[in-house]
Amino acid sequence: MKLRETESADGLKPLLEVNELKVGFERDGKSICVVDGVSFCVKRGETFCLVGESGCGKTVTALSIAKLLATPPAQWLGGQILLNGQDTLQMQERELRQVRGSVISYIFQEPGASLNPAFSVGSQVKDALKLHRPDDATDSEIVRLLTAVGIAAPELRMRDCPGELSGGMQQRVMIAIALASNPKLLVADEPTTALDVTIQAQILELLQEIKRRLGTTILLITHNLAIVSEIADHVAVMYAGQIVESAPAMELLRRPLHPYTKALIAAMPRLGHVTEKLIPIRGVVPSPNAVPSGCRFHPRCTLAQPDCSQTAPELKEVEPGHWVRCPYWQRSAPSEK
Amino acid sequence: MIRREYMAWLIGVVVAAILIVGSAGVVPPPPNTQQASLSPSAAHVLGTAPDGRDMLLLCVTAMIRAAGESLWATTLTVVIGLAIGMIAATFAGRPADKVQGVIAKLLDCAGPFLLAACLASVAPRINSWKLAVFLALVAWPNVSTVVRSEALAISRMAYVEAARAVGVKPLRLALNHVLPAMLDRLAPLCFGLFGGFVALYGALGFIGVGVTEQGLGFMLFDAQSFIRSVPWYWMSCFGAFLSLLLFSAGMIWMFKKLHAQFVSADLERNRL
Amino acid sequence: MNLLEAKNLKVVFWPKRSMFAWAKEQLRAVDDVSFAVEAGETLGLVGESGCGKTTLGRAVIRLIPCDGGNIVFDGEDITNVTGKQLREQRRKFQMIFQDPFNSLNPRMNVGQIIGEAIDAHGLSDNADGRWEKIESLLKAVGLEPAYARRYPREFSGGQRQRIGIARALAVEPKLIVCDEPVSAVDVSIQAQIVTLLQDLQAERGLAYLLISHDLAVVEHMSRRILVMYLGKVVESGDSNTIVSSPQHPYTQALVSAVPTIEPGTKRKRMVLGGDAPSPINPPSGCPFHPRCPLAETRCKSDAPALREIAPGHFVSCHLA
Repeated sequence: MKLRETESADGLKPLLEVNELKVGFERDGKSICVVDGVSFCVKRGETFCLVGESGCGKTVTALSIAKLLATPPAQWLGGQILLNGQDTLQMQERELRQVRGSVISYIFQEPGASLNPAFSVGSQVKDALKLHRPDDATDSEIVRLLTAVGIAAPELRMRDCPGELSGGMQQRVMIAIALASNPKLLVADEPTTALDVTIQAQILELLQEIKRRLGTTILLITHNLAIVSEIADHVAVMYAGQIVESAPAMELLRRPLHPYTKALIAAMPRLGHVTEKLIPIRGVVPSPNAVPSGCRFHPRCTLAQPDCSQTAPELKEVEPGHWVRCPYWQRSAPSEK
Repeated sequence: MIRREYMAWLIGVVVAAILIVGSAGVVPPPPNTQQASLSPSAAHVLGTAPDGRDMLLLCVTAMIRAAGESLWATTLTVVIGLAIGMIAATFAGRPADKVQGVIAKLLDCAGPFLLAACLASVAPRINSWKLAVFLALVAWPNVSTVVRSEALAISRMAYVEAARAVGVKPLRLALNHVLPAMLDRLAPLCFGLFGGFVALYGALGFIGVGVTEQGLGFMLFDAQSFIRSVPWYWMSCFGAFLSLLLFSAGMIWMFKKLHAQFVSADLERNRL
Repeated sequence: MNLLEAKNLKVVFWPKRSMFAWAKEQLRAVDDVSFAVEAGETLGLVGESGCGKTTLGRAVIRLIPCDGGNIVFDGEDITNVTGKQLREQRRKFQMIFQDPFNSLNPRMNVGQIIGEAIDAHGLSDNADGRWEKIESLLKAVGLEPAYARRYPREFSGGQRQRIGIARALAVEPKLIVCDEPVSAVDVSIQAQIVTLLQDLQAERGLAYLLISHDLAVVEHMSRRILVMYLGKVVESGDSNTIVSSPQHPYTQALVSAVPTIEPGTKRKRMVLGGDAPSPINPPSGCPFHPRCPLAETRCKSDAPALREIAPGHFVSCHLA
């Protein structure tokens, strides 16, 4: 099932196409499905956000693109991932190593944990360069990369060890390493969650600038809808392993149609809107091995109808470009703006 | 009401006490000059010693006594080390703690000399149970340094801080929160100490310093010519027996730990 | 009458550099901070990492010692109280912690965790009364009474936070210091915990000292806000005023950096240059001047004092 136009205006195929991806984890002989039929498309040069709370499967989806999950316990249960036209799920390790770095790069949530504390920052950037652009693995290139991510005095900084840098600087170094190989797709998994809010603003600006200057496509994983509002072009909301709503960012935030999206927005405190009471979502996110029957959100949904527990709804395009997995999306909810 | 973690240790202490007392009562067979130096046969599987005692019985007796004596030394060391470690952690940074730290470091370097001095001062009226006291006085830093650092690390955990914020008294904090969390780290230390003490007792007995006759060290000394003449696997039996003892005790502890881990991991997974 | 009054509080650490060198520089985690909390109200403490808000929260309830200033709680000076007296005072103020996974002893079940708080102050004479109290506390925070027999590992992050709240309520305090109570949980659970805290406040007349880096949550729950930077208060006032018309450049940057859902509007954002400062080597003069877009020469040499620029609105900036 294709969620969007598979060809953009200039006739290019989307950079990333995920079709009916199913990923499971094996535990005690049982297979638990963590990502259940996820499909989406990311066009070249855009910022695509995958939003959801912990346990919804967004990180597993992101890691699956470059097959970064250890195959026991992870299992590829189905679907295909077309990265630049090639199905990465069918690739062998050798082909994947070519793809990782040159086509797709990752930055993760805890930059301190992703950087080796024993080696200097410059040597780690150099390692990344040596892997993909060995001719350019020079000090001047390292300086150029560090400057590009906004690190002041890069000639001095490159001799520092990650432990001597602040969280924001470490994340910038991570971005520099990710960009060293000129990837087409940059996957950022909660890149600012561990950072202060003013530093978060800097990093988000940096990502925007990278997109503008280099034309890099960005796939951003986050739980924060507000970040989505700031930098995303297109959003997909995930819940319990499925996409429940997908639309252009402005559209989704102005008119959220799925009860879960609406409930999420109503549960977030918004600066300057203190008189609006927070409406919590009752219950907890279901664990993947105890998924509710029918619609996965129905136990927590204020609009739940009797047949919501019987039939699992399909993801349908209810308005142009706006997909929702709920047959009752038209009923108004208290949080409608 | 005794906490669950302490139950296991309480049982261990009771078993150790039984072993210690029991081993003290184990007596080697009396000499029988009529059966001196016999070769191995059906009646005497390993033959007899020059003074007529059955070799197998002698060996078994020696091993049991070695185990009992080392257990006693381990117990003393752990008790002293635990007490000093906890006190040092309570007064961390203050003079008492610094003094303790200096003494511990000195003992690390000069312990054997101190031990030798103690032994020389009371020889030859030493017996293995008193020797254990000397050993504990020299070896307690092994336990106290671990206890101190663990106690300090655990005290920084949020749940200990939370208990302090609620107003729990310091002694209760130590017994309910800090000590149970470090018991897991103490267990392998105990096994290591036990093995070390067995070796130490054997060595001291070998060089003739005050352990009872028919102790492991003495026997090894007497048996030197025998040791040099028999195939290697005879001597390995002694080592194998004691290793098996240590190993099986360690295995029981490990299985318990693994089981606990599986149970808690299972619960974590189901909660996800 | 102010429930809690802190005057000129100072907390200093001496970071050890190496075994042989004495640290010459002190880390002024909290530098001359004064504030007051009234009974039943919520005061929000906002700032980023290194600003000292967490240290201040712990100092105010005497979990760490103060190196200057004094703290008066409910009319009694508790700055230097120790031992048994301090433990008795602890009944009046409690704390809930940030990390739901580490703030409950994994070896004790929920009933024991809450029961320990009850026992520490001898609040129950018989076993039945104690058990009833535990069950009613669990119900008050939205958990089943039967959960008292379970262990923390069987609960989710949000539920563990509720258990922590139940523990704090067990001693019937007048003030609860909430140290980042919702930072470690998901958005949907955040709303549950925030609502629970507000309901409990309305029912029991609790005062809160809310410490958080999340300005939106703080604005939502607090009547007044204190903004901290490098151990000092840079602005304080009504939460509405602080958010809608902040006067200090740092507060302005903070407010503009918070991402909000405003579809269709691209706000003009004030993005601060430079890095979060290290409290070990604070800048001279105004601590914010290296990152301040409006900094003048006098900002480098003279530290500005906290002045009242409008009733109840204090700012420490030469240019406000």
